[in-house]
Amino acid sequence: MPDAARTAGKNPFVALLAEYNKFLFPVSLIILMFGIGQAITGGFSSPANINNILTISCVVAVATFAQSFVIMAGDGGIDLSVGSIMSMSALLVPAVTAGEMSRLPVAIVLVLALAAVFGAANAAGVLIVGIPSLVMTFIMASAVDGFSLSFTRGQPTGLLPEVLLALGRPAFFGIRWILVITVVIAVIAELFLRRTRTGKQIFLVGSNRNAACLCGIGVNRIVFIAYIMSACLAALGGILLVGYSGSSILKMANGYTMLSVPAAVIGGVNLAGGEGNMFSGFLGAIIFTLLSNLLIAVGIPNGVRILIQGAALLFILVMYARDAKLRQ
Amino acid sequence: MSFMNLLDRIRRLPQLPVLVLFIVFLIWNAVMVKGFASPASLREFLNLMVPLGCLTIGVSMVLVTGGMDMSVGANVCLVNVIIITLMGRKYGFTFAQATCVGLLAALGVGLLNGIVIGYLRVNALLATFATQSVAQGCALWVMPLPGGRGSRALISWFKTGNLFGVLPNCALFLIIPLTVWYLLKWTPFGVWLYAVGRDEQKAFLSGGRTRLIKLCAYVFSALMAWAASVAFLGNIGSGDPNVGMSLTLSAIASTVIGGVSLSGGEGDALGALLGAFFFSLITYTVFGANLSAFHQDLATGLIILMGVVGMTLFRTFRKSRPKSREAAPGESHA
Repeated sequence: MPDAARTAGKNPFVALLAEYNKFLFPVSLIILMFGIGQAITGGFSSPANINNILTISCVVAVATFAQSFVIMAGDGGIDLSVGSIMSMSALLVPAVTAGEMSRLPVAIVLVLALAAVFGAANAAGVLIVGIPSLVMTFIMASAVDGFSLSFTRGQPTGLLPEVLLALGRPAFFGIRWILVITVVIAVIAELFLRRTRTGKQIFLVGSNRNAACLCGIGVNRIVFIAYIMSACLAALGGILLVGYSGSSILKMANGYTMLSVPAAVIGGVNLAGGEGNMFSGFLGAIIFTLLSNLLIAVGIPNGVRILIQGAALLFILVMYARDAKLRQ
Repeated sequence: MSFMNLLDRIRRLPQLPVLVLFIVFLIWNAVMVKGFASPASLREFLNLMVPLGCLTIGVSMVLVTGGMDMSVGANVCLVNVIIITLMGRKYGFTFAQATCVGLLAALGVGLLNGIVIGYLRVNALLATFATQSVAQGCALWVMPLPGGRGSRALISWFKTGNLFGVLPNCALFLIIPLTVWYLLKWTPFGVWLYAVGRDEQKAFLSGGRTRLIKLCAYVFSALMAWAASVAFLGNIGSGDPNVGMSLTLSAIASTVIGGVSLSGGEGDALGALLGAFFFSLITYTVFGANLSAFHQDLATGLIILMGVVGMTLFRTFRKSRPKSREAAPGESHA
């Protein structure tokens, strides 16, 4: 952001380049991976398969948006309850709607309200009690998992209304509804961050809490909003997931928690806070989905696939996300 | 006066809150949970919590340097499957030989962590998350499905044997590392360990070999993951590529409950170990409360949440009654 702001006054073209610079690395990585995929198995970069990969990356992308909000609010904030809240919403929506269209709004409001309560509890624990974010949200994750288990009594029930099942069907030109909705969520979240006062304050609070406090920003209020937004976005992600997959099981989305953090970082969210945007988060999510699809397409066993994913992440981190030297 | 001084020193111990939690839940369990207070049951409790205890001792050293180790659980899995696979018919190693190979693998993961975080300056949370995938991938590669058989001699030595007829053998897995930790704490290495955690920049400018200190902390943590894995084999005696995955975050949570600050430079292994005892006691408490199985996870989560909230509030309360300590601006958000 500072680079873009500094150059903005001089030349609109330079400003545009500075803005694109952030997307350069993820986009070139994605193109590279599609190229490798095409070279190994023909048809990997066909329009149909690209569409499939984009569709699969949608749920990861929404989890990444959720994670980005808390990370951007700074102070080492991280939300490990994203996956558990997604699972909870994926379990609750079918149980409440029982396949009836008329109950869907109630179900969505209920799930979002519950998520907001959990998000607010996270923020309260971090801000008021002073528990480190990592620990607070991790414990919250196990409490939310416990809540899901005790609510469903171990047997997920219910049916999905037609509208949610339609998420996996094409909207136009073969592009599925889930992708359309994810892009809409990304645009709304991005507009919220860039165009509203609260959104801009999230960046300020993230880059320097003391300065934000001295500017008269209600730091606590902003951090509360970031955690609540994160939990609500996670709940939306859960709804998308259950609509796309058609059924739910316990802890079905818990794996997304630890996927969302590196996806956000590769997408350019600064772990120290105050920097990031939704579209790069989407790119980060696509990179991770693409990598795992590429490895499946090559046909390597599960263990080696996880090994290569870890090694690739480590490589990207070493190349891309190193801290400043101590000797300056 | 000296008595008051002693009281004051006790009041300032970072391990005090978790000690109180531990004692309260120990008494609660002894009274409320039928059969908990018998020697056999206590021994079994000790046996089962040793792996988590080992991990917390290792993780606490990393957290003291201001780092984070998400790879310990996967490291436990890796060592577990390596030992079991090498002891199988195909390779026919003895238990001792297989354990040595497992030790090398664990140290390899620790070195990788230390180099990437200490020397290449990658964020510790993300780097160890990546090495977690690497270690777990290796574990699943070596042994895709649970199976195999460990050493029976180890199980009987670990679960029922006593040293000098009194000290349970499994306690050695906690006492030896704890002793090493405290010996290290009083050497220059220990001083630098805390210095790096308090302020890495200042430690570096004071001539500390901060990168090497960090590397050593991660290697120690990996070493404790190896010990935890051996303790697992003493308990269950078979191979499973996912055996330790759930332990990672439990170990970190217990360490923080035990008074080790996530921002570094505070707390030590004894508090972390007490945190692990508390974490394990909760399972018994909830189990003994005759709740339906479906509600047990929720109850466990809520009790741990209350424990952490209570402990953190207690620490804040204690810190807010200083003798002379000016409040830094904006510290309420820090």
